[in-house]
Amino acid sequence: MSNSLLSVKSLKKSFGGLEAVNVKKFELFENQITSLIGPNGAGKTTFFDLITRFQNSDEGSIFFNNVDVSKISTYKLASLGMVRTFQLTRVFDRMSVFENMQFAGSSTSNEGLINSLIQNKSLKDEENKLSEKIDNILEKVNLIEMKDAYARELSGGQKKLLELGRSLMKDPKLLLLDEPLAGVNPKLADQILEIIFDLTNQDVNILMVEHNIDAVMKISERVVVMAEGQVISDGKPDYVRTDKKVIEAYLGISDE
Amino acid sequence: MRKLQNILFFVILITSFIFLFNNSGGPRILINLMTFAGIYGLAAIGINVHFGWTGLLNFGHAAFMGIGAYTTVLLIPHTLGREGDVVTTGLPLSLAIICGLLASALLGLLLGLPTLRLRGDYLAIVTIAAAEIFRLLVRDFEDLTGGVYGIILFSDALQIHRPEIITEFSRTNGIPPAQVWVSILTLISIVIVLFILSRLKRSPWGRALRAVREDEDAVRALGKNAVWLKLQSFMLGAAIGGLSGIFLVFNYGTVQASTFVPVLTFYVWAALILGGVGSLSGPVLGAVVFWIIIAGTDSLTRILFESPDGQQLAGVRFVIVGLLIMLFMIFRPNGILGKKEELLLDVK
Repeated sequence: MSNSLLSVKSLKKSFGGLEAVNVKKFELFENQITSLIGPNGAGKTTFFDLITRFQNSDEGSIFFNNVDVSKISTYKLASLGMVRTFQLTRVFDRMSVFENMQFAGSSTSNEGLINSLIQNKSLKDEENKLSEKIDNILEKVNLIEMKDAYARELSGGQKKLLELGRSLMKDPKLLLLDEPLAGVNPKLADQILEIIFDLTNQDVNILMVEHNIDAVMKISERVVVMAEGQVISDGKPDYVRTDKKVIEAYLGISDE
Repeated sequence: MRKLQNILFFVILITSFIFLFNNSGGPRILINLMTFAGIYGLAAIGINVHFGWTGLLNFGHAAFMGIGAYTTVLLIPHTLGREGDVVTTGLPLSLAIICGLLASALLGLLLGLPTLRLRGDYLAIVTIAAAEIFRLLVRDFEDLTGGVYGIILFSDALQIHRPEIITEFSRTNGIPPAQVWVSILTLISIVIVLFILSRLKRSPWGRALRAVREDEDAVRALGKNAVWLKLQSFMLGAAIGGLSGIFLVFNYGTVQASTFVPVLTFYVWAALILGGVGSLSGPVLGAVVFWIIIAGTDSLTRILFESPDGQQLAGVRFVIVGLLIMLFMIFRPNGILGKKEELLLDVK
């Protein structure tokens, strides 16, 4: 096993009396595609929200790349290399595909009010360099023809691709994908899976929540199963597939 | 093509306006229109930065306009309140104006810090309340602000810089030179502000603001500090509002608690909506249209009715403004200059 990329200890979150997430220990290692599955309401998305700091956890610690990020501001995580996508796709509707990508890629110093007003040479150079990178990534996610379209004109699947491409502009070390295949036709789903698979060759590690079990089993090296806020099974796809606890969680308790 | 259409529309409006007023002192009304359209246009540009660019709902623009104006006026020689306390010392005008703009931006920071972390509606509520608090404080702290009696005799600080040529031009045309000077300075400010904003709009900063307007959570997920971006936008728009407030009081020559009433905010909003949310020069055009309606109703009602009295006139003009806004919302919701693609369908 290689280095620990993400390490979560005794992470808890309750809504009222309901314990949404209670994960005692969860570790993510480099160079893996890991999938998080589980029945609806198992706490997968809440777990995502907790590690990306979109929600505050009640207790517990999160380390990313050996840095304590348990209390960090959400936006700082992306510059550390952890970028997420959303279950309900979030693109910038009234901006072009190109602008969506530009925004994701541009540096915060260029986005300073003063720098933006002066617009010196280094800012312009950086914007030009950005365009090349954008073209590359758009090529990769098959959106190059839609470059100048408004994001809201894209189809649902294309929006998923844009969100993925936009995340790649940040050069993430860990990419958290929340249902990347939801509502996408089978053909496009294959395409997205291929893109995701290619990413692992470029040092991008992936943790994804997905309901499409076939796809999960095909692509993942490790599958983690959650139910009622807890991790109930964790291992290679073949192991998880036959795990009794998983079958129970999905189908209800069998009456053997 | 559409630009041409707009300009044509604009020209027709202006000429019809002058035609309607030809017999009752055209130049005087025209300069009045120019001044107020300029001031309201400038204020609307400020709200446009908030709402059109960043999606922030600011319903307390009068407070930003007011604090800028009061700060500036109190820092230059002026006469105060019921007793007429004369203050003869003060900062140079340019310095006082800069302080006024900073005060507006600072109020923006103060209001923004606690509320910009929350969803948009909270900001709307807080700004409405803040504008009223500001007005009541101004009214009640009579020792500092002159209260309802206000502040007078401060506009000399601006008028001593008036070039002789403007004075002569005004005299020959029978219009007040002080107002001409204010209106010219307002127009110059609009040009400068629009120049700066057009540069910013196409910059990474402007792009970031639009991203915030579209989806804050996505902005945060991409590693950008959405709250800080919103704060900057809020402060910039507030300062532009402050500048318009300064011109407003220099145009009146006085300022009192009743200058910055809540309805002022909504006039500015009306101008913005008519002109087109999100477009650069739309707010100014919207303000012109707004003031043509306000000023033009007098003669229009005189044509329509036999003997209208002043009170009826005052009512009718806002009926027309309201009607026009409704018509715009139905047939051209993006305003005169707004882009349809940029239309704000959902406000967060």
